[in-house]
Parts: sequence; C-alpha cells; structure tokens
Amino acid sequence: MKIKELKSLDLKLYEHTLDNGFRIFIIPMKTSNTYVTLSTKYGSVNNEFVPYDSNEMKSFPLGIAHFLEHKMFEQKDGVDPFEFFAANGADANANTTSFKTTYLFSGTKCYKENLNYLLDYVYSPYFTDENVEKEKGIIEQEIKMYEDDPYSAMYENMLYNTFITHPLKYKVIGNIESVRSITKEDLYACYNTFYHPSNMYLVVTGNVKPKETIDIVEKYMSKKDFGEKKKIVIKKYDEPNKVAKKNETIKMNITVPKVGIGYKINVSKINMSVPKIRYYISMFFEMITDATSSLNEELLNKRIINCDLASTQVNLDGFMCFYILSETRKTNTLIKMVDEAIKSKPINKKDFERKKKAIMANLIKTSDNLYSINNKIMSNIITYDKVYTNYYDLINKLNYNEFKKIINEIDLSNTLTYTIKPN
Amino acid sequence: MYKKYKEEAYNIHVIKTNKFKKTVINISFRSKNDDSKLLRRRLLKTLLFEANKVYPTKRLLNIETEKLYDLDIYSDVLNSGNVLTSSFEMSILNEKYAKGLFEESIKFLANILFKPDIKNSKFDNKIYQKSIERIKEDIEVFYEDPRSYAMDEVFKKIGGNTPLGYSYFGNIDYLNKIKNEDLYNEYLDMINNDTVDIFIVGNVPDDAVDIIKKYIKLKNKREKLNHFIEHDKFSNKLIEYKESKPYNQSTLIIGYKLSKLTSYEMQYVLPIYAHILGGGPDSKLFQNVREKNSLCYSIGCGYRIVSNILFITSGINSSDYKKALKLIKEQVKLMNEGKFTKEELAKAKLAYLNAYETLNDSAFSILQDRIRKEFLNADLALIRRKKMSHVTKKDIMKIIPKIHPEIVYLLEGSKQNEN
Repeated sequence: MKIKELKSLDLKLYEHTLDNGFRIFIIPMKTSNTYVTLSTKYGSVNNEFVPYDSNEMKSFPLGIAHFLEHKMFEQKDGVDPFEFFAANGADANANTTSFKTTYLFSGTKCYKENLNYLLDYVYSPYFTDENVEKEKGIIEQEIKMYEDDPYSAMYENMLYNTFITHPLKYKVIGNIESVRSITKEDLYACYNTFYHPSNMYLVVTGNVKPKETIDIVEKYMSKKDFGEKKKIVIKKYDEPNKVAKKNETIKMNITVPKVGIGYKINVSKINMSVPKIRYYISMFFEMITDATSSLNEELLNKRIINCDLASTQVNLDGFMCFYILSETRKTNTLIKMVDEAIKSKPINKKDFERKKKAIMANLIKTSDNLYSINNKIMSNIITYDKVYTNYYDLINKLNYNEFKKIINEIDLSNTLTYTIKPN
Repeated sequence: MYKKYKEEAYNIHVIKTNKFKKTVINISFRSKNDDSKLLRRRLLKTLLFEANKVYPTKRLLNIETEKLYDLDIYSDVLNSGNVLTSSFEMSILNEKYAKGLFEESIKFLANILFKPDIKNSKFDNKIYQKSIERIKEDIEVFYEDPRSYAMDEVFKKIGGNTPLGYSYFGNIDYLNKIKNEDLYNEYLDMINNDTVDIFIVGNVPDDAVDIIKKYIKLKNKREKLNHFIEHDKFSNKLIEYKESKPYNQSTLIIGYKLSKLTSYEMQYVLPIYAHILGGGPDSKLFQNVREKNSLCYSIGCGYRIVSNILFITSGINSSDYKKALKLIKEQVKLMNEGKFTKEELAKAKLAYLNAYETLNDSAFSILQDRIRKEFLNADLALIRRKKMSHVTKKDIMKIIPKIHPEIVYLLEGSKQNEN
C-alpha cells in the first residue's frame, strides 16, 4: 500500500493494486459518512471493440453501457440491490458517462457488509431475455425526459455536430431504436470484456480505515474466479480537427431561443503536461466569457442577454472542446460578438492572477466534501490513469508567460453553432 | 457548539466547529407572503446584485468575489408557506488561508445590502429596466420545463388564492405594473420591517459577532412569523385535469392536502409514509410502476410541510395514463390499509437516520438544520435521530384520515403521439 499526501489539503491518499490488477484508492476524512464508488473504465464511447471471446472487432448498439448499468441491478436470487442497501441505511445508485460506469453507495453503518455486497452484485451479472425486454420501456422514458430538456438537447446535439469519427458524438443513453435492439447476449459480451477487475477500480472517501477496506476487497476477490486478465482492444479513431457540422437550428417547445457556440481545439501538439494545458485553456475561456468578463458585461448592457453566459467543456485525448451557452432573442448578434471576443484573445496578467487565486481557494474549499474528492479521483484515473496529488502546487506554479504562449498558439478556427428556436 | 446572540433587530446564531475549511453564513429576511410581494422581492434581489455605491457595475461586483478567494455568494427569494424568505448566503475560505477574509466578506455583503444604487428614492433606471427583463426571462425559462410548469399548475389549482397557490416566481401579470418607486419602498420594507436572522457555521473567528454588528446595522424589534398553511376545505376526491403541450413525455401529478398534523406527525410520521410509498428505488411506487410494469423512468412521492401538501409525480407515455394512475392508486390504497411490512418501515427509518447522521459532514446542512429549528420550530437532527426510530405502524395509520385526495393532473406530451 502506497501512502501519498494531497498537498496543502490535509488529506492522505492510500493506494493499492491487487494481483488481479484491481486498483483501490482511499482517502480517510473526518466525516460520519463513507462514500464508495466502484467503476469500470467502460462508458458509452467504447462501442466498437474485440469481445473477450472473439478475435474480431464488433460494433454494439448505441447506449449499451448505460443499459448494462441498469441491468446490473437484476440479481439471480431476486434480491434488489437497492433494497439491500436501503435495509442497511445506505443510499445506492449508479451512473454511466462517456468514459466510465460507476456503482456506488454511501452510508454510516454496515460498511463491511455493504462493500462486500457492492462487489458481489457488480460481479454477479444476471441477464435474461425477459428482464432485458422489461428495461426497454423504462429507458425509453428516460430518453424522452432528456429530449424535453432544451439544454440536454443542445449539449447532446452539439457533441454530435463536433465530432466526426469519435463515438463521443453519440448520446450516452443511445436512442429508442438502438435501445430496442439490445439483447442479453450483447450485454454479456460487454460485461465479460470490460468488467474484469483489471479494468476496474474502487474509490473510498470519508470515514474509512484503509487497511480494513483493502482486506475486505482482497478476501472477496480471492474467493472468486474472474478468468484470465486479457488486454482489451478498443477501436481507435482518427478524429479530424474540423467539426462535423458548423451550424444547425432546431425548434422546440420553448419561449426564449437558446444558442450554443462551440470551439474544437487540438491540443495534442502542445508540449506540456495535460492538467496544465487544461487549466490554461479553461482559464482563457472563463476570462473571456464568465461573469467577470467585459464581453458578458457588454452583452448584458446592450440587452442581448439577460442572464450571464454559461459554459461547459468536454475533453478527449488530444482535444479540448468548449461550449458557450446562452439564452437570447438576438441569436446572430450574440454569436458574432462571442466569436469575435474569443478570437481576439484579450488576455491580461491581472485577470490571470486573480483567476489563479480563485482556483486555489476553490480547490481548498471543495476538499471538505467527500463526494467532490471521490469524483476528482475517479476522473483522474479515467483521464490520466493516475491520481495527481499536487494540484495545489500545480496551480501555484501556473504562470502568465506560459499561459500567454499557449493561448497564442491555439487554433480557434474550428467552431460550430447550435440554435434552438421556439416552435 | 451553538450560541445565540440577541441583538435589537436580529438574532445571530453561531455554530462553531473546526471541521471545515470554509465558514458559511446565511442572512434571512422574512415577511408575510403575498403574491405581488414575491415578484417585487425577486426584482429587488436582482437589483441589489446588479450594482451598488461601492461596486458600480455587476462585473466589478463579480470580480470582487474572485479577489475574496472565490467567495461563493448566493441569494434567493422563496415561498415558505405563509412567509416569504429572502436569503443571502456566503461560503468563505477559513482565516487560516487568508487572514481578515471573514471581515472583508461581511463588508462585501453589507455593501450589497445597505449601499444600493438609489438616488431620489429610485434605483438607477437602466438597472431597473434590465432587472425587469431578467425576471421576465427567468419566468419564461422556468415554465419551459414541463415538470416545473405542471407542479405550478397543481399548486395553483389546490391552493387557489392562498400562498400555496402563488406561482413559484410570482404572478407575471404584476411584473409590468411594478414601478421603480415600488421597489424602493419594498427595499425599505425589507430592511426596516422584515424579521432577520443571521446564521454562521464553521471555524468562526472569535470576533465574528462584533464584525457582524459593525456592518449589519438594523433597528426595531421584528415580529414572529408562522410559516404553516392550514387547510380547512377538502375535496376528498381526485379531481382530474388534463392539458396538452408539445413535449415528448407526459407529466402526471397527484396532489393531496394534509389536515391537522401534529408536530410529531409532520416531522416524523409523514416522512416515513412518503418514503415507503415513493421515497426511493426500494419504494412501493418505484418497484410496482417502474420495475414491474416499465411505465416510467422517474416516480416519487414528496411533501411540503409548511404548505401541508403531499404529491406523487411521474413521467409517462400519455397512452399509459390510465394504467399508471390505476397502479399508483393501488399502491396508495395499500399504504392506507396498512399493507406495508415491518421491513419497509425499518428501511424508511434507516434512510432518515443515515441522513441525520451525515448532516454534520456539511456546513450547509448544519446551517439548514438550525434554520429549520428557528423558523419552523423543528427538532434538530440530534433529536430527530432519536425520535424517528420510534415511529410505529400505528402512528402511520393515524395520519391516513388526514391525507385528503385533491387532484390528478396530466400534462400530456402531444409530441409522443407523433412518434
């Protein structure tokens, strides 16, 4: 077991890898609650791969990782995992993103029993034609719920229009047709490929004893035969710099039109650590578009917008994509002004230093929260395959000259817009 | 460690703990609720965050929050039964990391509250116009969400002219009638007449109370307020309403009024009832409507103690309306006939006990716990942990006659018929 200090956050990370490749990350905190997440490095983008018992690349229906997550709550003995955790006073849930699937619980009691059960149900798939069919109606309603939300629709459609070859363009949940086509054989093929312990990891934050946790997991794993550890072959995509579709307008049942402006930036040639690149480029977009920016102020003063601009980002190997979102009745003027402001790259040292200070303060403030810390570790493993323990130093060492150099280098020409107008 | 300081015009509630790297503070202004006041208060909140005499633009105000070590500042105006609450909340990094930050942050908040940009009994006209537009858009956007729209319709229909029937944002018809001068009067009303409480949780500096008194200067004793809406008219049957809009999914809501619940029933028995019926994935509604019949993705049962109402919400296909309603009614009937197991009762209690035990992990939760105690005379989590475990089936059966069916509302998604 390795022990590392999370610098300046008064926290320690305990890290251990079992012989079968399963990784455990633990951060004890002064809380009553304990938050446990068990994740597989398998999300909605892993749709084309060589199944565990085959030598050929195969394509699976869109949304299958999310469907599989739903079906893991089906157990052969008829016990519903939600009921099990509820009986032990714990909250349980699961979620699927583009890059991972996570099963989780949090609670103050029965830690050992709950952890054992989490491992047990996730490592005991039980799919039948009947229970697979039953789930389709439920997921269909989930799809419809998101379709009625204009911001979900905008985000999902902008991803679709950003990427050309990479499956990040597709919705995590899939679509009604793809979900209807999923079979139990498909689910087993995905499960057996991606749910081997060597492709999974456990993160525990909160009221936890590291050694006890490692012993529980080791004991559980030693009793079960997971088969041999196989290299997972996933299709690689050569994603072009250009966007798939530059402009699109749709209609929905809304009152105030909504606009999204996206930038697809290739960062693969920048010779610097990925976390640093991400901080610099995020800071740049915040500086130009957030509530402290002169652009936001001008748009408000000219009544082009009534609420502050919002933004979100999506990262992919070699790419960073930023989306600026807003509500406006003057869609063309907004798009023009935002694009001009971003492309003129109006940066200054004073703003940079202020933002840096705010990021450091935010890092400290959020380190109180066992959910935030757990999420950060989960995302570090997916992105970097390791946990960065020196974020405070990393942020502290960000400097304006380096920032300026990167911002001057990045290409902001690959843009897209997405507009939702009232019916 | 809790201590209450009684000042002339407000109380300061201090909960000292060194568990957190931040200190959270909440200042709540409370007044009697009325439909037009809600909108005036929302406008006022927007105006106060637009500019003031120290920070003449919203941008400068936002820049200052970054300078104050990413000071999180948040304000909201909410209906809380018969009372309207305008709250201002901040999360401040501990003094250990930035000496003097607590005082600087309080001063910043005081500037927002007490140095508004007012000349000749009016706010700056441009800012006033901007705020009107902003609120108008907030209202329009809020109702784009089918669930928010449907919930508002249900409350309007059940509540009528009482505060329960007020729209979440306030009545949009009033918006254009609100004059700049009205907002100035509303501001004076808030500062001079509202009941004010200040709550602080965290590694509170020793001189925190003195700092608060230095910057928050209010006079006059304020009145005590009763949040709870009590109902005296009941339909005692589910009256059906249907409306159609171009959504993909239909929203189904069933509403109930509650009568004469005791404080114990309100705090302990009703939550257990709602949890067994529709509190989570192990609940009766989730298991029967979603898992066994695949009719929905989301279904749940909730309640609002201050308004004395209980409701069931779900997203369905309109073609499944009758089937879903039948299944929901069956589950409610089972509850009302006492057909739930000891295990279901025990699980519901455990869910709450777990929530109470973890409450001390979050400064905001500790703050909310104290606010509920002060405003609603609710027991603190520490007491709730003890009392919740004593709820019996008999207790639940006693509240059944106090749950009165009122409304079935279907917001039909007409787009799904085109699919």
